[in-house]
Amino acid sequence: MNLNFRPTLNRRTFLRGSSAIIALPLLESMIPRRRVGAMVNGAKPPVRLVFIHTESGMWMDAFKPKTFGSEFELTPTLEPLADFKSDFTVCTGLYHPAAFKRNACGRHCQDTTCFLTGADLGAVPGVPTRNTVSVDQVAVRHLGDRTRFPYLHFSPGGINSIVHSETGTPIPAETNPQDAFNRLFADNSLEARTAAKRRLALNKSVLDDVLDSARELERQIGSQDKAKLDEYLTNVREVERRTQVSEKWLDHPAPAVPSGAKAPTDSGTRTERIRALLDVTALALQTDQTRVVTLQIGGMGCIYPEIDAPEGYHKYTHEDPKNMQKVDRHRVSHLAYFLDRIKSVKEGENNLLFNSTILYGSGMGSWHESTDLANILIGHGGGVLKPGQHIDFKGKPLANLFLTMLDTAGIEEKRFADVTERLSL
Amino acid sequence: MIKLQACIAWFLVVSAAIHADEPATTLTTLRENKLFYNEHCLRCHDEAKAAGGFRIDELLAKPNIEGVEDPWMNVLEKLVSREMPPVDEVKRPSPADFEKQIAWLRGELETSERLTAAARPRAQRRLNRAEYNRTVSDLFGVPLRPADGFPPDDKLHGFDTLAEGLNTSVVLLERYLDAAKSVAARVLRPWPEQAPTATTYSTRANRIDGKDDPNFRLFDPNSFLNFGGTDDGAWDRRHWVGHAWGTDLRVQHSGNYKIKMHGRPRHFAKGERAIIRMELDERVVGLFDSPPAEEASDILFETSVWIDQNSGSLPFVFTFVNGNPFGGAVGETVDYYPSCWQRHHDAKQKYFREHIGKTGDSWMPHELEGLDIRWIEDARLEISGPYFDAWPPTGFQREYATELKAGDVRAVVAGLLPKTYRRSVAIEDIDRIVTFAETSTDKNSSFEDKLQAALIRILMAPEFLFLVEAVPPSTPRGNYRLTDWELASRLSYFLIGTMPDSELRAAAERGELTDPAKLDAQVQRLLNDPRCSAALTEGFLNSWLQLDRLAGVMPEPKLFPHFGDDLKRSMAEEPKAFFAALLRENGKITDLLDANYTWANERLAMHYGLERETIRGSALRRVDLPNRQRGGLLGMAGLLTLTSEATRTSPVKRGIFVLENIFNRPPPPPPPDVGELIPNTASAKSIREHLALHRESSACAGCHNRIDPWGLALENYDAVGAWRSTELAWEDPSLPQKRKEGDHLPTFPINSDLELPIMSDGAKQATGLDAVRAELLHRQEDFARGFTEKMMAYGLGRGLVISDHKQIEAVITAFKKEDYRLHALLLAIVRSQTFQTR
Repeated sequence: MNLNFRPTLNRRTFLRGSSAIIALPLLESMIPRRRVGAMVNGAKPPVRLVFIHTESGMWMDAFKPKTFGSEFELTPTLEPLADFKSDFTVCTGLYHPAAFKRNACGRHCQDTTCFLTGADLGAVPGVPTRNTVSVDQVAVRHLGDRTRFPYLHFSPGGINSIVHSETGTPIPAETNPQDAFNRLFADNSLEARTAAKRRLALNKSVLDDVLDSARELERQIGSQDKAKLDEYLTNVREVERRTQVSEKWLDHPAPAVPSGAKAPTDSGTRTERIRALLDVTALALQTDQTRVVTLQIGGMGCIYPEIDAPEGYHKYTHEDPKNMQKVDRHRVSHLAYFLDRIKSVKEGENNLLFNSTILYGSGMGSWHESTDLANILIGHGGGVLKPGQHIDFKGKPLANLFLTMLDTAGIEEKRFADVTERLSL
Repeated sequence: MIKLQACIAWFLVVSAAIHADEPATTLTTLRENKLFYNEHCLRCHDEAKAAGGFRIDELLAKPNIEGVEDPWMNVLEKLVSREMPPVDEVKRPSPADFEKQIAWLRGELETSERLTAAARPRAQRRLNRAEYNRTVSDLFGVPLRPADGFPPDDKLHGFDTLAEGLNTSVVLLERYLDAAKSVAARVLRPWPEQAPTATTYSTRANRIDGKDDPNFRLFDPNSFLNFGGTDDGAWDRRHWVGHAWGTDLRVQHSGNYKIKMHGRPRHFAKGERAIIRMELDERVVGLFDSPPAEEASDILFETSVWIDQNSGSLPFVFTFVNGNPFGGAVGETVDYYPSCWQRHHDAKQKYFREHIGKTGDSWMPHELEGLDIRWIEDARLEISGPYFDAWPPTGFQREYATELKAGDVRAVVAGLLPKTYRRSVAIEDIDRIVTFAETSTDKNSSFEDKLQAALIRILMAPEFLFLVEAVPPSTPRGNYRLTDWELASRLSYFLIGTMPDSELRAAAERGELTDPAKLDAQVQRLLNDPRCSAALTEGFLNSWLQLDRLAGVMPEPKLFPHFGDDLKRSMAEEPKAFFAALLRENGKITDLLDANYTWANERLAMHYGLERETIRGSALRRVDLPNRQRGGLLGMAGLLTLTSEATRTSPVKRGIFVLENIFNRPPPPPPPDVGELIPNTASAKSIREHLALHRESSACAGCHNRIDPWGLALENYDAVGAWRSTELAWEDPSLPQKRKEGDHLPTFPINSDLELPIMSDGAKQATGLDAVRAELLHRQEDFARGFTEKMMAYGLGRGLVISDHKQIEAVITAFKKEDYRLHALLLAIVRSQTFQTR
């Protein structure tokens, strides 16, 4: 990104120019030129957060090392990660106690919908299940406005989303790697950008006008009878704010496709599609277009004829450990593929993997068990983490690990779900 | 202004009526009433015993009920149901004492509610997903489903029509914007001067050449029927042997398309029909039954479907539902092959091992030899279209043809706005949109661009997204009489789940809905509208019985090998078809408790052991039952499956289902830290014995004595609702995996006695489902009450409160007078004051 040559804007300029006074994000064009230069010339690169979910657990006997500390052995499922042994820590003995205890929606639903939220879904009386914000969106709260895309969320399709908004609403995933690629490396021509601007301008004027008329409507209604209408107004305001942010980003041309990278082609097998999504993820992180990515690497209905596991994964998790671990290992090999990609991207003295904090895991273990989950924490978090171990956390909340992950990205949150403490890793 | 005066006048009438018997303005003290509770409750519910985790002494220590209304509400429930004090209590209150206490306590709770009403905000209700889809479709006269991509709505108290549960979020708002844009673009897409002429495309054997058709095209035409092959490997692609096939479809012109599938079912028994499922754009368009196999027909099915113009990637998929079980996703089509499932399973494994990824997807007939395989001979597809009933075809463009031709934004907006906002609009309302259309677009923008901006703006308006009920500031709760338009909207969304139709709008505009006779006439008209049974079945029944959850159940395939997708779908359809018929025919809700008929198709007939020879195909129809094994909701496999675990039945879930769904009196959640019921693996026993052990603990007994008996009496139905007379011992769920082949668990004959603390004579003389049904019929008033409460909450769009008590009673009285016929209930709800006020 050619940031060095952009004139410096100050916040006041923005505020004067915008129709309403709103809190603006810190865009890079507003960072004093000297600091941008410093960033580009080798000051600490940002830490990227990636959350990868594998549905319906893993066969723990083949996943969990028997030894602890840095001398842990590579189990069959972890073997594909052999080249990265000093880059990850196997975290066992973690789970979501609050979600587990109430079991408000069954273990399957809990596996996906609570994986990143740790929510006690039944906590609101009268509502069978109500989720809370997922940890990636907490990160987006802090980092979202700093990049062209606040976050990316991928899945091969057909799986409950693991991402939940501030109000606990599931956010559907993007499933097409080609579309994502085209969005990331958008057409920078004046025409395309003008068209995009026009679209956003219409959004903005619709929201503006709706806001005005809704306020008038509210004035005619008694204060007791306005509930939910208020909520609607608040959300209109928030969408309007996001539109303005997107509008500003249109002034920053999309980066060029890194040399050697190609647009994903029509994907055939599930393996190809997942790898294409991982490619896009790597490219997005490499070009710093987002700092938060969630990816659902496989659902319980997924079949893998290409590795001679032609029946649904869920069936294996019930009755066929041999095939189950075959799929587990296959999915972990996707992870290895991804790690290989990002480790080869140099960033200053280190690489992109060094500057990432990646969670790979599931809300289940073997046999739909939900108290000992399979999780791996990968990357060095920009030097904060000391990977290369196997640690048994002996029944602590998984949310503790989330807090530690946020820490690596410089996000200080005190509470999240049923957090009890920060983990030292 | 005139409206406002009318409103004030009504307000005075209503408030005069409400304040006729001078409601209490303060809470009374507990003083005299303490005696009753000391005498009858304290023995078990004191600090020391705290039976069921409940203590009355804490409540009695307070000066009045303020701040502890919820536990007192539970006390009231227990007194009303006479559940407490228990029947075996030596000193039971006299009937008069019961009534006196109930009256006092209810009065106190109502007063408390009135006193705190001012502090409780009341939500405006927005459209839910289904309502949004129906509303935009009706608004523009084209089938549209933009809300399918919205995040799911919360179901408060089980329903997605409750204002308080219908939240908005940023995600939803963004989807609203996308939907508004796509709908506007879609309805304004210009039609050519003349309708395009229809053409025909066929995949007849020799025409699979991929040649571009001017009208439409099947992408990857080679995918069609390429599951078939001949022995020598030469393709002729004529036999449909596999499970499903699909292709991407492109059509150049929107319109109605005729889909005709040719072929002859082979290896089917006499009278059997091939069942084909057709999906377009990932939605099931329909299930089609071929003519009986022995008929010399070449046509499997014919149908007509509206397909929108598209650029070429509309997935178009056909599934051979009762075909052979190979080649499809797991869980599909095992349905029709229960007897040889294992054989197929093995062959399938072998097939995948040897073929997939290595030699393509081809099926050679010799591979099928010796297997009980059904296929379709000489299959081919014919698509022709587009066909139109009229030109231009969409409602919107036809309705506003003149205005659109004249390029008059204002005229279109003026016509559309009252429908969209569901009220009469002022000039200012129209001005606002027209001004917006002008200012938000460039000076030299086209008429279409301006109109598009106007439509997007209208679809984002709170007046469209919410059923706005504009209560003027500082109107006391319940004293605002809805305007005719507001009442029309409530009525319309309650009965047909969409915006008021032209007749209802006209009645509202003329102010006729204030006239009870005219309101009744509108209700009667809507009750006889087919949209009513469809909307209430989808909206009310589906939520009430939580039928959506069936899609996610996954019975253990080893234990229930023939549980496939078709059975699952049929199970979900049965209660819907049953209820829809009750609504259409104004039946009695007691049929839901017991009936000598049900609605079934061939797959359900197989599951129920009915004669499938007379019930062929996929469509559900009314079937008279030959015996008492089925009949009524609790004999329906879908509900029995929903209330089971993956490997076994759950009498507890079934019992809770009765209390919660039949009586609307759910038991309280289990106290914290009781954990799950863990089977005693050392001595595997029947579930009845396990639960009996469980009830020995006094912490559990209180509730489980009420819950378990209902479920235990239904033990003759296994975890997928099939009839059984023995059960497998219950054991640790991880054991079956570890068990060696040939090991068998012990089985026990089923004991399905109903053992409730209080029971009618009819129930005492029977066992199993019969006993349950006898007891439920005996308690039909309780069922009617629970059903009424649920339906009122659904229709009012809010949870019921204690002050609704009198209105509920009035509705129930009217309902009962008509032998619990459904239309009487719906009419009584609309007539009630609470439905017409806010």
